[in-house]
Amino acid sequence: MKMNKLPLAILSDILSRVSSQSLLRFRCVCKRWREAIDDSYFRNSLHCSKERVLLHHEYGKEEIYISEIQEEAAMKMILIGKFPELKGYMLQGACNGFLLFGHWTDIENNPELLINPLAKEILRLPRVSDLLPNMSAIKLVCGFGFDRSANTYKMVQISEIDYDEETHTRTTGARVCNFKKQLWRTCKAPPPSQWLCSKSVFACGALNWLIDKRVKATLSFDLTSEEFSLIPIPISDDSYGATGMHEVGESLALFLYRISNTTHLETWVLKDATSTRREWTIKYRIDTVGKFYYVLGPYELEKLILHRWGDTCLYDVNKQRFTRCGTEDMALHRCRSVTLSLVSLEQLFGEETSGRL
Amino acid sequence: MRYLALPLLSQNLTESTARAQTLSLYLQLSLQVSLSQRNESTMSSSSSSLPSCPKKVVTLKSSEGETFEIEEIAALQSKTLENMIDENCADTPIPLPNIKGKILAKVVEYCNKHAEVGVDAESLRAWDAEFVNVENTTVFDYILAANFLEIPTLLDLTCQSVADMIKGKTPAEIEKTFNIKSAFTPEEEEQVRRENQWAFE
Repeated sequence: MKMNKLPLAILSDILSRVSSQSLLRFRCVCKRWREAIDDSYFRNSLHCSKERVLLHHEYGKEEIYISEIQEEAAMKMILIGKFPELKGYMLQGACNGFLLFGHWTDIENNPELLINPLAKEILRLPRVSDLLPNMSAIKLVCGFGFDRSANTYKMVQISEIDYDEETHTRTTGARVCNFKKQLWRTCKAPPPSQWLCSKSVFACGALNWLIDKRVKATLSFDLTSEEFSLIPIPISDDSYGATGMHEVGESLALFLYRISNTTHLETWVLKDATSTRREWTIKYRIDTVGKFYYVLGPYELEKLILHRWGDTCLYDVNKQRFTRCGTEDMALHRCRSVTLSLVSLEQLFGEETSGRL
Repeated sequence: MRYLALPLLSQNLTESTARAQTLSLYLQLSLQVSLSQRNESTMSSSSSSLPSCPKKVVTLKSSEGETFEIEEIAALQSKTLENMIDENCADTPIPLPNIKGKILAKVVEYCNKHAEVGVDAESLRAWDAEFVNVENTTVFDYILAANFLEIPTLLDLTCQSVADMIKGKTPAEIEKTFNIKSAFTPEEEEQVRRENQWAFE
């Protein structure tokens, strides 16, 4: 039939436009398709899918799930793999299908792990305590992202150096890892702060953490310049709170709500994130029918997941439509919206340094 | 007037060989035609100007011998045709033995539409969507034609439409829709499923 007469380059072009999950299914279609999908050149040249899934990993467990959220139907938890190496680990960052895990209790003796669950690859990173012995082992937060100008993945860690009991301020130190150069180095410390949200959001070439309470800003780490800066949030008075910060489209989006009146969420987007003239502009308002929702993150291509206990909804950004979805009675807020890919971890280094499961 | 006969090209040619052969054949034809034209004009001893070029309209010839005219501006969307036009200015039909008349007519229509000025993006998108709203077999013919003629926009449009067709389908549905015979044994198929069990749920 005509499909088999297509040259391999064209078959690969067509397949490259399909999600990683579908590609794994299509390995079953015929030998020609399986060879095309398993080809390492094909996998490594797949442009990173913008499609988001909701990843679920419970602290310390082996299993990684994705939660499939459907409109007007029950949510499905799908097991995508069991990784015994993940016992005792916690998901700390994700970028382009690579997941970063750090040990929850003992990072002195347990190195960070990078996993691609679809390609079934795992990579043990060298223990930081071996490389930078002066750095404190009390790691606060971690971030993982891609530096386009240097064409390498980078990881940053912020650790506690000192905690002042009186002023309740934490002094921190930071270190950054350049994967291509396989190099860790300390970098200028971030400005002292009181409290840091642990989930980093990678957007616009920077890693961002939401700081709440008094400071009301986002801490931003520019992956290219390897410097920290504070970006104040658009509305700093106490009548507003933040219910989520995510990468939506190609920008950093902050979701604010009025504390006294939760009829809607305001979506603010950061313009020109890398230039010095960074400013937030309000992009749209989400009518939440009088209830308060957490914004869990982007979903699929143009949707957002809104969640409160026992109630999950999808908001279609383009159609401005709010749909209720079936849900389990569980707190989804530990889930993370990520992209998945078949790209090999070898791409981090360009060499054979990973061990396949 | 000299009449030239096109030799039949073998069915088993690969794309690039076919393209190269077509190009060289076209060059030979054009050279002979322009030589004879030059002879004619010197014989009539009028002003010794060569045939004027570039011509505004290009003629394409399908595998069955049918001819189609296309404005040069529209034809330039095909890198293959662009090369041929650059090489020669004579008004000789370009043979495309790989492409049937029915398909070539549509490809010409596509190029003409995309060469139009003042078409807004929204209506062009709608037109493109209608263009690929045809049977699978026809879309594959478009793909092969776009690949041979190197028309990147048409190749992108048609590949995307096939990708949209297969998204979300099960392997069984794909095998049925595209008439693909899986060469896997039941054990091999079971193994592939087990490797990524979750993707099949």
